[in-house]
Amino acid sequence: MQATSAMSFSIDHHSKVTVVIQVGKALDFRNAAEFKTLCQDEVQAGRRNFVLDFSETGILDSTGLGSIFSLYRQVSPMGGQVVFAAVSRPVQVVVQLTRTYKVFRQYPTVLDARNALS
Amino acid sequence: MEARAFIQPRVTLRPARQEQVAAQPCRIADLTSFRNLSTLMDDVHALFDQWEQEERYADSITLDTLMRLRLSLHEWIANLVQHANFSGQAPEVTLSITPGEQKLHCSVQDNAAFFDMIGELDTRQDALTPMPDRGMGLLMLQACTDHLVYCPIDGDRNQLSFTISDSDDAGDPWLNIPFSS
Repeated sequence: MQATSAMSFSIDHHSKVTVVIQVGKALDFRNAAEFKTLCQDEVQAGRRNFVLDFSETGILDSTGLGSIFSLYRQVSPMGGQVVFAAVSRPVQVVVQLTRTYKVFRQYPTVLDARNALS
Repeated sequence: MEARAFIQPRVTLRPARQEQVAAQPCRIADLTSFRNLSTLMDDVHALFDQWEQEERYADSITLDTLMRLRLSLHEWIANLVQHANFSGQAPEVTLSITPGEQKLHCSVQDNAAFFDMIGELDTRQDALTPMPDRGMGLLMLQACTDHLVYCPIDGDRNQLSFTISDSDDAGDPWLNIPFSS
């Protein structure tokens, strides 16, 4: 495993195809472009499965959610997955409001999510 | 899956809500003005952090409802920060919160140029593509709130007002984003 960090996000390369992104305090209109670029780089490097760790996240807004949709649209045709782990209460409010639990599986911990994708 | 977004019809064009709230025996609990657009978002979130820590509105609403209020204001402020035209004036944004029974009434005044929010909501609702990148912010605000009104006041100012409540006659608030075409 190799851990690197972007400005707002930490990345843990779990395997050749699976990556864990620690979203951090916020994913919103202020850093969504950075998130999209980061994810595009990972997809180009061969990652197909993304675990989004929301354990520390207090803000997920519509633009942040849009950047996750963008990632999903990239990886799903390749058989990849985007899953949520350790979803914080503010993020859960957004998930319920938008009913995105229909699309993104949720796991109690990052470990659970990684094991499910192995 | 749904091919088109469905939004609960909670927007009203009538500004009667303000009069109704003014007649209620309640008082404004928080009235805060902001003048720095670059720190506006962080300042508002700092207020909410404080309110959550103090359990400030715990008698009126649940924590989840307070989080919906935070999300609603975040989306509105994001719209102000990214799109509002202040015509070279120093921005003035005033937030007020009035507690009620199992609800909060919120208003945000600004001195930006007025825009047709109802028209914008219709446009965005019609243009919503499956799993869109953008264009969900105002729709999310609409889905979170009741009695959403945006209108000019005092000549050169505008006011967004809405209520947010634990109980919801229309059921759980939700924004139905199309997930497939």
